Amino acid sequence: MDADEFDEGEFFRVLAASGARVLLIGRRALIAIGIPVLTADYDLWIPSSDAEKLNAALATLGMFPNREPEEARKVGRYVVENGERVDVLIARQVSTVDGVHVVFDELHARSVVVPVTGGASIRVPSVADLILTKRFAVRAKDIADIRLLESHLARQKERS
Amino acid sequence: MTVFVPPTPEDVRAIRAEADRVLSLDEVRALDAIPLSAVELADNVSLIDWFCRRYPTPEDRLRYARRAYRRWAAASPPSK
Repeated sequence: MDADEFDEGEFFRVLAASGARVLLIGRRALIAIGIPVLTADYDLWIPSSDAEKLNAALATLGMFPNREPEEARKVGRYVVENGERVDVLIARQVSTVDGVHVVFDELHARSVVVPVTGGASIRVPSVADLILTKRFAVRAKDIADIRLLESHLARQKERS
Repeated sequence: MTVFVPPTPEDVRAIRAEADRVLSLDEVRALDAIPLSAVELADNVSLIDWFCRRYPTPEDRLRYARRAYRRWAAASPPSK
């Protein structure tokens, strides 16, 4: 499957119908909420129990995981791909670089449903929570994203 | 007139490696300590406002991002 053949709407519809609790994080989430950045892949966060449901759903699109769920749960991450790359964070909670524990259930409860391509929708963490997810392993490019997210947050507060 | 000289593959690799380098806690704290200036905030908000006006729905923005990434990847200098 190359980038031109990838049906993003179908991808989101399959995620929504998978039964897995999925959060869209990373730069694709930033784009959806209105921050103009570029990215090659999709970053998802799911709880440990939901890998099988997600993998079964994505298999219908010919996308397959690089690790079995049991191994993925131990490592905390895996990749699903077939032309398109989906990085999956699989954990109940993750700590930021400065030791803040970020709990999936709490982020999921505060997340917003964003209508996306092809009539589907996906859950995206709140802007404040997206900033936390950018602080799991901070790369130089994440700093720029964090500053854009902080600006977006300031803009939201000003308008509310 | 200045002639544009494209970066070498080595330069491209070095820049990408730096952008992807995981920062130490001390580096993160040092960067956290730099507040958003009024100018940076205004520039960022202006950029976000433009993007949301030009592409009003998440669907529009996601579609644009896929097109833009393909254009960027096609025009990007090689790293090998």
